[in-house]
Amino acid sequence: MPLPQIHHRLRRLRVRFVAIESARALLWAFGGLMVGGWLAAGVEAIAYLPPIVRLVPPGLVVLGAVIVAGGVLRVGLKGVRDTHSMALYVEKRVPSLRQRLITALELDDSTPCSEALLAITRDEALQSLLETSPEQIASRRRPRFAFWAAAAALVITVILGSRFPDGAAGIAHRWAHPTLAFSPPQQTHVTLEMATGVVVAGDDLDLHLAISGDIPTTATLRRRYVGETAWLEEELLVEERASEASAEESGTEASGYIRANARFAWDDVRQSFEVQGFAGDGETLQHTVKVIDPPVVTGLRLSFEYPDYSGLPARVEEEGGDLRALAGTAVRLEASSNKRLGTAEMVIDDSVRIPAQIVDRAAVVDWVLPAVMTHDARRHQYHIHLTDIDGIENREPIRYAIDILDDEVPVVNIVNPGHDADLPESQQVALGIEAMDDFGIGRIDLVYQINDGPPLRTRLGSPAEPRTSLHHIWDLTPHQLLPEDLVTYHAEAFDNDAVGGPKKGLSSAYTLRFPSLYELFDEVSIEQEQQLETLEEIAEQEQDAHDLVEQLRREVLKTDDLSWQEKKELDAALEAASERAEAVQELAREMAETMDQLEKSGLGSDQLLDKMEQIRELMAAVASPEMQEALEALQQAAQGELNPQELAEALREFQQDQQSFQERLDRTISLLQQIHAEQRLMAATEQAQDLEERQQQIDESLDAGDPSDAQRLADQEGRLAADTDRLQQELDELAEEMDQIHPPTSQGLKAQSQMMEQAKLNERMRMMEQQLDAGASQMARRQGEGLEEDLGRLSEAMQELQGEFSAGQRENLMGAIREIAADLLQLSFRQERLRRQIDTLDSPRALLEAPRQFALGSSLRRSIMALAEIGRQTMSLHPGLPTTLGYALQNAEGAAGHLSQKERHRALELQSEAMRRLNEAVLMLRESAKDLAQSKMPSGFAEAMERMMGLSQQQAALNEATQRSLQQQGRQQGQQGRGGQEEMMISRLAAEQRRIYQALSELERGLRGQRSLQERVGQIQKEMGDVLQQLEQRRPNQNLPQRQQRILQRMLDASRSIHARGFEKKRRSQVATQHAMDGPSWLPENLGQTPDRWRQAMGEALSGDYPAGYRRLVRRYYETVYSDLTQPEAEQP
Amino acid sequence: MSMIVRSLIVACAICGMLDLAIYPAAEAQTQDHTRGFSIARVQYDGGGDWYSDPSSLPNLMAFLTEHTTIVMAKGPARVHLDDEDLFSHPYLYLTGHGNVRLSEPQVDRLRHYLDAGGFLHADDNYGMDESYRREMKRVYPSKDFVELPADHGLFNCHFEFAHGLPKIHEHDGQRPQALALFEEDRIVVLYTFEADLGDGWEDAHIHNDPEPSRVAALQMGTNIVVWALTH
Repeated sequence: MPLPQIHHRLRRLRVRFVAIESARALLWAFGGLMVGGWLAAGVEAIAYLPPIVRLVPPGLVVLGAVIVAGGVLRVGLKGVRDTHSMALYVEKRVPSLRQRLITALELDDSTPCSEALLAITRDEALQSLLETSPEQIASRRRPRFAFWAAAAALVITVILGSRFPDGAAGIAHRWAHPTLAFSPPQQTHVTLEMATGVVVAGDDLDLHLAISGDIPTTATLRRRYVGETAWLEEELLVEERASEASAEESGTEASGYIRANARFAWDDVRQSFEVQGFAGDGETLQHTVKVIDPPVVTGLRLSFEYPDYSGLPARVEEEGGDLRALAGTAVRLEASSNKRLGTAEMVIDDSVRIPAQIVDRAAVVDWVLPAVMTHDARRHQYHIHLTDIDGIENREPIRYAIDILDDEVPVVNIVNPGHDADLPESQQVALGIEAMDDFGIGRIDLVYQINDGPPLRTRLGSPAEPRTSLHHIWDLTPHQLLPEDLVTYHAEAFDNDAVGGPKKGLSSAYTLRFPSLYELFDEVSIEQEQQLETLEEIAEQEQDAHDLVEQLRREVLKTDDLSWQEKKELDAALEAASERAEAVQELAREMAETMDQLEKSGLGSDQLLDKMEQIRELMAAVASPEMQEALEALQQAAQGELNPQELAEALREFQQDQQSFQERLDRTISLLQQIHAEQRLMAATEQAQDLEERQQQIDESLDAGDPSDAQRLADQEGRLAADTDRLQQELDELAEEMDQIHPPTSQGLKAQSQMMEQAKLNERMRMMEQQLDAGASQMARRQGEGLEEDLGRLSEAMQELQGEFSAGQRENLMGAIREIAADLLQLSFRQERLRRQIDTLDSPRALLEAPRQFALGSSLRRSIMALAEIGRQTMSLHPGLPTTLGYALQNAEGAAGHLSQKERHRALELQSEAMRRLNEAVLMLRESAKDLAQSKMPSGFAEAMERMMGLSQQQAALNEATQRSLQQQGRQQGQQGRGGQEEMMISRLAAEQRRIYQALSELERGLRGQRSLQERVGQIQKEMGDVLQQLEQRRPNQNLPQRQQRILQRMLDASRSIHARGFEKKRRSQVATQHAMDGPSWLPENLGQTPDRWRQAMGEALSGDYPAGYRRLVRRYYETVYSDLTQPEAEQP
Repeated sequence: MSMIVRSLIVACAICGMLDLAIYPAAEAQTQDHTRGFSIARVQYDGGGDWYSDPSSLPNLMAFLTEHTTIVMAKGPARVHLDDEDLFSHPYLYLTGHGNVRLSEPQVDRLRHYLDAGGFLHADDNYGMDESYRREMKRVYPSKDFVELPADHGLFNCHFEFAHGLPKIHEHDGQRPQALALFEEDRIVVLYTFEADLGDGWEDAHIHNDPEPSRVAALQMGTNIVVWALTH
């Protein structure tokens, strides 16, 4: 059966052959297709064929490829159409078969040949065929060339496609849409480049147009917001790229292809938009850019909780921003956002970040303002940084200031005295202190230093208020200050800052100096001597002027005229007279100052001051108004057309006034000399006492036995010796001066000076000083004892001398009082006798006695005037005397009047009444004399002052008690109402205040005759009455202590100025002296304006639409009510 | 109406200051009180000597010319509170020793003037205190005089007065006080009490005040004018 096998084998070979040839044909067709495709694409790319013919080139290419494939296949399969031809092809390819295969095929069974041969042939053919490799007949390598050609075509195609993808894509697109018409290819290609199609609102966006092909000079960008129809166009400048490299650096795609670009920067994009670019004939596709909102802070709520010490209530700022608060303030920031938040933080100074707690759309930060930032000079700020759940951050957040307020340092001022001063004799200083702090004063201390000693501190108060005015009587007596000691002091105010610690404010420092008696006396004495000298000079000049005026007057009388020279002399004399009058007035003013000095330093006794006041008044009246008028008249006469008679008359009048001027001047000088001597005596007495006290203090210090104190004591002893020497000289000089005034006193002074000399006080003091220097304390102590005794005796003797001198003065006053009493008694007798006589007469005859009654009234008037003069020198006169004598005079003069009108009965009644009043007055005068004899000083002012001082002390104690009581009530307030105990306490306070009030009223009555002082005490009394009423009505408030303190201050002032007698209410104009600044330290918060609710109400009422007549009625109504309400207030002084 | 008047007064004040730029100084010297800033002395009733210290205002105005840039009128003006031209004077000055009395219309008019931006400086020449306070209480019943502290701007707006109001003349030995009535936060009335600035402004020979006192008075007067015109 080899033949079927041969056929089978041949069929298989043929199939193989056909397959290989088919592959070859396909490869060639593919390659041709590729090449043809290039050509077709090239034609399409160049020609942009219309739809009808667009597919012709590719169709032809495909057709060509098919033809190529068919041709190749046909040629390849040309000899192998069937098995036989295949066998021939095999025989040709395999010559070794030697026609056996053909033979086998052609010899069929019908062929006349041996079967065996046939079989053998067939077997051999089969065998040979099987042995022949198919590869030998149909080689797989045959399509190799075609394969490589196709591969090359493919590679080239890929390269071209990748090289010109747009072009290839465009061609493919056009071929894929053969029925659509496409425009010819553009010369300029433009594409829009953007980083992203989503922009955050508020961000900036850069739009780039990448341009290739023909490069135009400008490009156009067209944009419009989504939802709108109108396009906005921007013309852009096209910039060519410098090089390929720069294009690559710019990161744009297809470097080397794009040759230019145009840029449009869009700042602050807020809304979604569409955009398209145009360049040359090219245009980009239309793009849509979506704008989304970033998170923003839509609301910021600040809650402040201030430190406890500030006392400020918690505060919330709904629309907050800047942080302004004290250090230590807890602040909660609640920021609300427009979007849901992912994270948030408070960023301080772009460095410190405090994470916030997120609650949906809100961020909450809790922060305590640190104190340390307050010491940093930089300005601090913060902002809220938000990130929404999409990770978008807020853009340019608002930066708010952080202003951490430093708790201000308290301000404290000493407003009274407010300047350096000498320590008063009482060694008590009224301090007025004002302090202010922003959140409250913790406490106020007075810090002072005596000489170079350690600083001492006294707590003045703990007001706990932002503003306070504090009055304090500073008593320096416990420090036993010595003359020339210096106290430096200032006030310190501490605030209540519990966070950074209390801060301290200092006032200006002032000094109080304890002047020595010698300094004070020297100062005053020199001034007085100068005043005396000036007065004496004026007196001499006045005498010369008097002579000149007399000479001129005679000349006028003699010649009826004055020469030019004489007129000039007269002018000069008048000018000089005017100047002298001014000089005397000036001296009077200086004297008032001297009195002030004496009073403050305690050098002047009441008696002495009384006299000085008289002299001052005398001096002020020396240049009387009459004299001034005469002077002016004479000046006018001298300057005008001279009428000799008038001029002579004017000269005469002026001369008379000049004479009285001279007399008053002489009297003034005389009194001044006497006063000066008295004053020196008093000062010497004080100095002697001072020496004794100082020696006593030194001795006591020695007893204390502190060795380190020896040097200080030696210095003090040295000063004591010097002062003792001065006192001795003073006694000698004073003795000479007193010799003219009061010889017994002069003798006594000389005796004391001799005693000092004999006792060798000065030498012993010097010796004691040396002993102290050498450390011989025991010896010094013994020496000191002796000195103390001697000085004690000296002091006693001086006091006795002064006492004798004062007693003499008192005797004079008492003598004057007794004399007036005797006169009044005599008048009473005269009145009684006259009354009896008239009682026996009828009216017509009684009329004849009227002149006697008139004369009696005149005598009484003179006695009253004399008594008034005494009244100016002493307070010991009975307060009822003026009234009683006034009635007596009224009755006596009334009786005279009735007698002259023949009203005898009425005259008798008045005479009886006058007698009764006179007798009462005599009794009062005796009582006054008795009081005068018992008083320390003739004037009695010392008693008044002591009483006022005593009352002041009582008021001070009451003030303290009131303050304590109110503080206690304040603590209990809110817990329960006022208890019975508090009620009792207020009742006790009221009783005490009433007692002081009554005592003050008594004192005020006793000051009759001292009008200005009486007025001052009366004002205190009035204010005290208001306070008393408040207490008695059980409605004390926090203002009460202040009012009481003010009363105390006034009482102290009054007691100090109780000597300030003779104050002239009339205008006194003189150059001002420096005044301490004791005004307020700040303005009141309401600037003195209180809400005028009536006017507001009237305004509201009138704002309605009423007829004019009705409006007038409304206005009148309100103004009447307003007037009634304000009248009492307006009438207050 | 109030705003119009206020504007007029402020405009007058500003014109007074700005005139310097318009008129040469020499020319300004020859102007009457309608050109440049002038102080108007109030002529009041009641018997008080409203005319006292006659040389004070001319001296003060001369001092102002010399030490400030305010162009002053030739001399001071005089005005009744009833006068038509009251509102053309931004600055009133009142002084005297005696009684001050204002009629009801004058009280209303003065209040209107002050509310509208005017300024009144009253200087106690000693003796008018009681009546003046009484009358001002009628003008402003709900306002009280407030003492200005030493650090108030009035004392350092042009010249420095570290211790507040200077004391020029002595009368009762009291300390000087600068008292003010405020309308909101503006001083409408300044009352210088116990200082007697007017005496200090007078010619030197009249009161024989030492030169430093006179200069201090004039400087304080300058401060008052400057403060009134700039606030």
